[in-house]
Amino acid sequence: MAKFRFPLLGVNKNFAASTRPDYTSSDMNNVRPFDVLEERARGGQRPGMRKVYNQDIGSGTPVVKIAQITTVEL
Amino acid sequence: MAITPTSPTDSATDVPINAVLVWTDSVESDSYKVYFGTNETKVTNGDSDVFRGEVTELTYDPRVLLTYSTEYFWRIDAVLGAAVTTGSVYSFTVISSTANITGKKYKKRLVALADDSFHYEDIDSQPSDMIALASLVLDTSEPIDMVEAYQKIFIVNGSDKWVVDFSNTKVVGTVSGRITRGMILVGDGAGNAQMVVDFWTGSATDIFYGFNTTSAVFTNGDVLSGQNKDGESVSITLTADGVLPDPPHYYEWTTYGDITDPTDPDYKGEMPSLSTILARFRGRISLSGNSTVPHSWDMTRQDDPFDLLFLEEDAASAVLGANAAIGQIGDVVISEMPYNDDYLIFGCSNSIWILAGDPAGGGSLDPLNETTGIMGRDAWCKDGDGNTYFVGTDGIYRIAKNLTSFDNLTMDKIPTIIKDLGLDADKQVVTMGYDGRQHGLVIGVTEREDGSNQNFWYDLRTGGFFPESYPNQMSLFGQFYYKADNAEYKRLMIGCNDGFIRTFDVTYKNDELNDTAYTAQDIDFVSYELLWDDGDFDEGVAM
Repeated sequence: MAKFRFPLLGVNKNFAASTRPDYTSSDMNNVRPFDVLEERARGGQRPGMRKVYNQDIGSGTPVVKIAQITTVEL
Repeated sequence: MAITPTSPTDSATDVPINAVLVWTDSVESDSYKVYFGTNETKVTNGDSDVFRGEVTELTYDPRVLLTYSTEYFWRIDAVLGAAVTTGSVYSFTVISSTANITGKKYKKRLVALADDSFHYEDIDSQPSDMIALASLVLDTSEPIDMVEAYQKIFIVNGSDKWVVDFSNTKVVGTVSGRITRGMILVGDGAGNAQMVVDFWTGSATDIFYGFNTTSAVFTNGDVLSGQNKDGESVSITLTADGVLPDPPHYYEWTTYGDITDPTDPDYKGEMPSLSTILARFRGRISLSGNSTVPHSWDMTRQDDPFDLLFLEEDAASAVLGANAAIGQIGDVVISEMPYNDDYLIFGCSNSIWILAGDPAGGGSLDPLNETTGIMGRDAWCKDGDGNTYFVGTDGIYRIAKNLTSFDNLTMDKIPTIIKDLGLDADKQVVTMGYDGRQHGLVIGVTEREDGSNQNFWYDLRTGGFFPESYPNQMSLFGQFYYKADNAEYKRLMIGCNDGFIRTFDVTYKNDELNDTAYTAQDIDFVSYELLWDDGDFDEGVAM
């Protein structure tokens, strides 16, 4: 029975298929090496993206820059 | 009843955000099925969305930080042989963020640029909201950048430059004498409010901004007096009440007083006519990206972002520099990547330079690599250990903390990655961001025209690159790892194509679109190519 080897080391296009390093894949999409909920190295999908703030601050145009500011209070 | 909650107890409040579920079992069952979430109905019904797995210990760690002020529900079903005993539903409420941090003397806010406006987080009343700063009109279709320094945000936007000031009090009045930066003005009103003068808009308007070091306020008619840096007595008679910093002020970023006469004793040099790149380094603000002199950079005086006067034999003086050997025209500056105050990496079009130490006080400027350039102003990030990563012209690179190594990470994995991506800075936005929660980097490549995208996750634990795709409206235009006070907001923030700020959340199986109500979008093409031990290929689908 063939063993299943999840490509934990990601994509690798540097080798022919027969010599490609273990735990790599020539093609993949939206997978990550760690199960995001359990933090176990068994593979899984990427986490979903959710809105953090309620507003569409770009009114349909891109948010082009994000930063943070720290201020002191007396 | 077999299962009894030990921690948190049922209906407990003020539970820490890193709570772990603990229970006792009078029957000593074989294992336990854990249901946990914020939806009581789903937990009660044993919905698969809230099923967190089967454990054999009498504890379950959610492995994610919980959300402040949120009620959670949990249920433990005891498994003994083939029998499963459904448990009761228990609840607890997580501590509020303000209750968690006491005696706090500072605030952190997220800020963002979008839709020709400056936006800031409403942390005082509703942290989940962003507020637009009224009246400040930007042009986000033009090159725009910002940097935090001295409790302000400095913005360059084409030929315009702005300061958004979150700390100073604004006063206006009739001036007698020369008010110099750094002097202390004491008011004669109730409480004798005092301010340290920070910025003057110039004689045409005579508006001053300064930090109020008292709890008293300035009111119309107050006379503020003090001695300037030359020991002269000066005063301002206010013609209006002082304006507190909430909401923040904004004003044009000029030199102090915007004085243009070089013979004036308070002349502070001239701002560069055009800047598109900003960085903070050793108490200076570096400005570069001027298309008429793209190889040069200006740095303000140390501890004074309103002084660009170049002085000899003054280690704190403003500096004008270029990344080149003597007699050469330097390489075009594309990006500036500071590492604290230790060194500043200049990402140029065909080379990488390092400024170590202070440019006016014994520092050195040397090429680190003369064959590799950087693919965009924001095509870099730092990880939690201080290593710097950037998308170079021939691969993705890591510059180790303290410059101990310079490595092309894709050379042996995806040697043609830049060619494969078809990178063109005019057509694509290239960004990088560090996700401290998931221990990796997000490399985003977004087509400006339609938001189509090609992205990679670089996992810092395995060193592997993992291609990802996002819906076009969620494609990446900006990334920032927000070191928020509120742990729930301490995340990699994504500036998306559709105008929302999003984050990767492990509790979300699907992407959240921009509808008013939550709408899930399945994550497409969760797939990989497997090589089985027998040498055959097969298609896999991650579950």
